[in-house]
Amino acid sequence: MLTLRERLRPRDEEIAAKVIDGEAIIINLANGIYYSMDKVGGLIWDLLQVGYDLEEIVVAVTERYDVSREQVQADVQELVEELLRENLVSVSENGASVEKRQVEQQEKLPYEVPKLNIYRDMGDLLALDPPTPGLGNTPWKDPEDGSSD
Amino acid sequence: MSPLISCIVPVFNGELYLAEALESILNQTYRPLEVIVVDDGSTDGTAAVAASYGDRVRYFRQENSGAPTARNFGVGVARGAFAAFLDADDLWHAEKLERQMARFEARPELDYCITHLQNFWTPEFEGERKRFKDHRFAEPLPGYVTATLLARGRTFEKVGGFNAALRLGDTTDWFLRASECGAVMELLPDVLMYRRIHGSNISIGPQGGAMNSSMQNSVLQVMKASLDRRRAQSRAELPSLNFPRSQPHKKD
Repeated sequence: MLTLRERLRPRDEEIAAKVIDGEAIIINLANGIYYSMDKVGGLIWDLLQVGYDLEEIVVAVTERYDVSREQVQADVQELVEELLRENLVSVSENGASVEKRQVEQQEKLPYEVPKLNIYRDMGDLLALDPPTPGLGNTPWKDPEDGSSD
Repeated sequence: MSPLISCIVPVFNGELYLAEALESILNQTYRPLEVIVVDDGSTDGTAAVAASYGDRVRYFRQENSGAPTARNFGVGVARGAFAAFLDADDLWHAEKLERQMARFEARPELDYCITHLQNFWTPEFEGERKRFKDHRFAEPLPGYVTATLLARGRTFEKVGGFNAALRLGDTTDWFLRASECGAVMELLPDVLMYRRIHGSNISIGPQGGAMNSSMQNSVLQVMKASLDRRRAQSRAELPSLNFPRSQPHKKD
C-alpha cells in the first residue's frame, strides 16, 4: 500500500503524456497502448507530473471539487495503483516539495470518480520509433569526433 | 492492362539522395507508373537532379510549405488510379509496388496497403548503427509512414488529404482518420522500404530510436483529436480503431 507521502513520476523514458484541454492523454511508446483521463483524472495527472505528493494531490482535489476528503483519498489511492500496474508511473526516489498552485475558483465543481480509460486498438501504429531505454541517455556524439565506438 | 500508379516524391533540399530514391522507383518491376517530384521550395540542386531525368519525371515546385502540402499537391496532379509516396532520402525494394498491387488484385475492397520497413544508417553514422545493433530499432518495423503507402485514389476522397497544419504527426493523423472512416487496410509482412537515418531526419534525432519531444507532442495532440472525433460520433461506446497487431515480418 502506498503512503500519502509518496511522490510518483511519469515514466518518461517509456511514455509520452500531456494534459490537453483538461484531459490527460498518455501513450505507452513501448506497446502502443494509450490512455485518457478527463476531469478529476486529468487534474490528478497534471499535479502528479509537476511533482505533488499524494497527500498534496488529495488536498488540491478536495479544494476544487464538492467531495469528502475520505472519498478522494480512496479514489486517488486506487487510481495511482492502476497507473503503477499499467507501468505509467514509478515511485520517485528523491522528490522535493514543489510550490503549490493557487486555486481561484468561486464554487466547487461537481465530483466524478477519476477513471483511467485504456485503449488497445492502435496495434503497431506507433511502434515505428520505439523508445530506447538506456540508449536514449547516451550523449550524442558528433560524427566528426571519431570516438563514437 | 494494369492500372497506373502515381509515385509522389515530396522533396526539400534533397539533392544528396534524390537520385537514389528516383532510381529505386524507376527500377520497380511494376509498370505502368509515373513519377511526380514535388519540390517544396528547395534552395539546393534538387531541381537539377529532377531535370536530369527528363520526361521520366514530372517536376512541380511549390513555395516551402511542408511535406503534407507537397504530398497533397502530388495527389492533386496525379493521373494514376493509385498513389504511392517516397521521401527523397528513402528507398524502395524493387518489388514493392508489384507485391502490393497483388494484394489489391486479390482484395477489391482494400483501400490501402503498407509494408514493413528497415532502418539503415548512412556511413557517417556507423557508430550509431553499431550502438543500435541489438535494438528493436534495427529490426524490421511496421511501416506506418507514407513511404510504404500505396492507396487507391478513392481512398483520398474518403479520408481526405494530409493535414497541412501539422508539420509533424500528419501521417499518424492520416492513418487515424482512415481507420475512423472504415478504410480497409493491410500491413504486409514484407520489408519493402528502407528508411535512411542521417543527420537531419525530421521526426527522429540522429540517435534514432525515441521520438523527439516535439514529435511526441504532435502525436499526443493527434490522438486527442481522434478521441474527440470518435466520442462525437458515438455517445454509447467509443468506436474502435482497426489496426492489426504485429505479425511476423519477411525480409529478403
